[in-house]
Amino acid sequence: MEQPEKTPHDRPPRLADALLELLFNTYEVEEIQGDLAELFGRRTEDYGLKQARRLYWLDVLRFLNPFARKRRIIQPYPTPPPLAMLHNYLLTASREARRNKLFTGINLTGLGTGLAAFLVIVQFVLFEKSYDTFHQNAEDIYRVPFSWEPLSGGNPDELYASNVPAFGPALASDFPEVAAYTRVFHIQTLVPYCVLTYVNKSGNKVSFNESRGYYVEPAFLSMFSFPLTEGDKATALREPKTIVLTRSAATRYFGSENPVGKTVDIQNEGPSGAYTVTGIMEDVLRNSHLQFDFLLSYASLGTGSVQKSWVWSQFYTYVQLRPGTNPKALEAKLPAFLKKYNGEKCEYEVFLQPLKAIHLTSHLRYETSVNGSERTVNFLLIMAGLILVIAWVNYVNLSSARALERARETGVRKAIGAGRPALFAQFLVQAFLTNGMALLLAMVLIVLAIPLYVSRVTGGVVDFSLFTRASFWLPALGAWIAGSLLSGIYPAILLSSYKPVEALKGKIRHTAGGLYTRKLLATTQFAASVALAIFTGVVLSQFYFMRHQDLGIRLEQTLVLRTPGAAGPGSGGNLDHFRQEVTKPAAVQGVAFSTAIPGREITTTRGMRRRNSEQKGNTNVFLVGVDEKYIPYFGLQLLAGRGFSENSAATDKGRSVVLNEQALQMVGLESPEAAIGEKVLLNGRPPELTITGVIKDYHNKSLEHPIEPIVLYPDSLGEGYLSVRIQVKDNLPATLSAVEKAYAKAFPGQPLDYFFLDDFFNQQYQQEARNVEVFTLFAVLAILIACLGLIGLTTYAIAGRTKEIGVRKVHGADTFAVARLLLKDLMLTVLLANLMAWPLSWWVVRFWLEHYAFRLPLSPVYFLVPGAAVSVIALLSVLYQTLKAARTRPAAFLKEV
Amino acid sequence: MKRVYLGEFEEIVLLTVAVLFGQAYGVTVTQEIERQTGRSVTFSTVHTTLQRLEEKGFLASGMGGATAERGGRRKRFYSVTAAGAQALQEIHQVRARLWSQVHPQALRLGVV
Repeated sequence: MEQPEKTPHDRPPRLADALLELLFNTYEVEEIQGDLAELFGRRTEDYGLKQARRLYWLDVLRFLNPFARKRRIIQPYPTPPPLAMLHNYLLTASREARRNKLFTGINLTGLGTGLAAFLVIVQFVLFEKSYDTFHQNAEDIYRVPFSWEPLSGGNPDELYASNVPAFGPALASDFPEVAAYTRVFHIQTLVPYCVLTYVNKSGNKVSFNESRGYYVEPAFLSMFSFPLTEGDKATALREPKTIVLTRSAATRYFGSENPVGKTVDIQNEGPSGAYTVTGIMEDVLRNSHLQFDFLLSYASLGTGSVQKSWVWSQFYTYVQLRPGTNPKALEAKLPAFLKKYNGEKCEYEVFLQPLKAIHLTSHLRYETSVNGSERTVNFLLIMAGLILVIAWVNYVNLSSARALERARETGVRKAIGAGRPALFAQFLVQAFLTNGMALLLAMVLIVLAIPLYVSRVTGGVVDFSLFTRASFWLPALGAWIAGSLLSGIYPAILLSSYKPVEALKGKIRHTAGGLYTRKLLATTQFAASVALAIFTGVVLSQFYFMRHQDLGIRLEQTLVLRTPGAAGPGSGGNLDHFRQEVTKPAAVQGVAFSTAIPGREITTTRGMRRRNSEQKGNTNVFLVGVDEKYIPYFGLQLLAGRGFSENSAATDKGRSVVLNEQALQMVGLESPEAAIGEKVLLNGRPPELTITGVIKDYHNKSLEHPIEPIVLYPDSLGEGYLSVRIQVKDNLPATLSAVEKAYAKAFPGQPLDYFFLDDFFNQQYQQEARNVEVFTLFAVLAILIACLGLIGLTTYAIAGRTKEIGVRKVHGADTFAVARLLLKDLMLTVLLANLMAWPLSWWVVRFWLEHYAFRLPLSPVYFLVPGAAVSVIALLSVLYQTLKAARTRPAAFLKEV
Repeated sequence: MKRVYLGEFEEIVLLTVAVLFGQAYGVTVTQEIERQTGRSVTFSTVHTTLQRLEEKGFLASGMGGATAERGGRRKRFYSVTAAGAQALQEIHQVRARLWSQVHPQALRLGVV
């Protein structure tokens, strides 16, 4: 501020002032010059100008004395402590968030749902990966699966999770590195029932037909970590006819009584009788691939082929190696080992499978429980990740699209001294804040979604205890930090780069490069959405394809009952009795018996060869014992020959078989007609069996699996399943109670359980159904979030072009023309996105379908329809804003400065 | 805390700031000292001393009160801190005690 009245001579000497400015920094100069100027004024009045100037010089010169200056420590600008600005950044960011509701809304919705989906999926994936990790010896335990053919043959369908019973003991005696082994034999391998009965003191009888139990060796309890609450794990399963129950199974039979030392009656093939309870164990954790309610001692099975057989391959065999053993080295010795016991001709092979890998990667035949799918787990992770990325891209795009609005703020901050690092920090803080709020929103969404959806879809794996676990918080914080950095860095670099003067003068324009980056990001984002839509469409279609394909077998309206074990071998009388009783009501249309039912693995297998043939390789066929009604009942189509009939029952028994096409192929016969009358041998042993009929292939298992070679034989034992076709539309409860009565009459005192066959068969698609549900949700979310992003981008694009629109309208453009102009960019983005998505999704979809034995025939429709649908959704989502802009009177735009 | 040494000139400056209560800045302090002591002090000495006293914690300062005659530049106003006040008190007490113990004859003052 100059003093206008002063003549140049009235002012302090310039040179002295200049010297002062050299000596002190700008900050100090103010007060010193001020003081000196004031003194100068007073001295001019007191002593005259000349003296004042002289004294001024004197004062300034005295400052040359180093002691007079050096002590100054005060800095030009105080450097605030590192976090002092944080408050300001947070304040600015939250004001910013409140002011731009569209921007904040889009970001929070996208990031929140993305995070929620991601975090839930992570939990599910972690659970799937946690299978069998609770065993203390998990690292050293291996399952030894078995293959009838050399493994190099590479047919994964011929690998069995189980092994032959002689394998374990021989391995343990030959190899010192095997610390322990146990064979595990399912209770329903021999017969499809296992009835446990307990009669308490007061004579009340508790009886159930159980399916979750195994015969295991004493070592089982020491190898695995299934803790016993009662009993001694070293001795509990040593003696024949001993049983260890889980806590809830024990409660089922014994209530509040102490079960230890009591006996339960067990009816199962062979080792039936009274079993003594020798222990109680904790219920089996859900993340165990072995699921059971009770364990029976292996010794109960006796000393026959269950101990010594080298050909009966239904015994799961687990070995525990001594710590530090190289499993590969042991595996390499196994072929020689097998030849030692089976002769040089031995074709089958075994390998070691780490315990922890079983759940996700095994997928062999005859698994103990439904395996998880590593493929599904990985796809879920990828999809959840994609949604997150799409949401992050929204943040990046919208932040940089809005950069212009904030350029002035950047300018002001720079003008008052903010450096680039400080601005960079500011915009990063904003990203952290937005992502942090999104995380909170995600948690709210999860809380809301758990009872409605999440808990069901994840099979109860994810519940409210989620929030108490580190396995939730680590990924949550990880996603927060990673997301904030990934989505915050580009806008931060862009916004902190503006030159203050240009920013303040409003000279900053969107650069072509920035625009290009945004378009590229938007296109990629949309391509991901389209790809997700296509993928989901295919998963969905494959699901419906499998569900609605003709199975070649009629499963509808069929009630399946297990025949009771007590009917016993050869007790066909009871069965006939039941048949007569059950067909009395009009609603019952037919009944058939079989030893296996569709939807469940057939457990009886034999090697089958034609007589006099030197057939090599896989000869494994699946045997189903049936009665005369079975083929017509299930609508199986005879291609040649005949089925079994009552007339030929005597000659058929033990002599005739009916093959499906796969079995026919296996024994090397070409046409069904030519096969009739051919003789085959099972396991190379007599009697010779005559092929009396050939049936068309039907799906015994889900379409995920190939059709197996199946051989039907006339069964005389009557241990298996009774299929009862009932008219469901009629009075179902009455019909059911009639069936129950017939059962009770034919098999008095036997527990009855039944199920509907089509439901049972479709249970195989449970995981598929869940996949479909989750993938659909993900695809919808992805498209939704991407559309939100488009709405945001369009809004800013239109805001930047208002004047152009105004001018065009003044020159006669109509609403339609303007809308077309505005939508042109979007059309291009969507089209490009489709072009990007098609090849990518084609590849992914092929990979996904490879897994299924029966695949949906792919056609361009699966790519064009989702692509078109997503494009239309995108157009519709921005239509409102576009039309609004196109309709506005030009004056409104042009009046603006 | 160990007592901080105050030089004679420092003591005078500190006292002057106290005297000028609320109006103490470079110019007023310089002129007040000149007026009260009659000796000629240079501005730079006063400025440096004020700064040193601030560093020692006896003075606090703040900017304000720009006027036209200063060319719109702000002043740095000084005020005595609690530590400064205590230091002055102590010096005063020491002197008073000493004075009270001086025999009147010693300085040939007392008896007229």
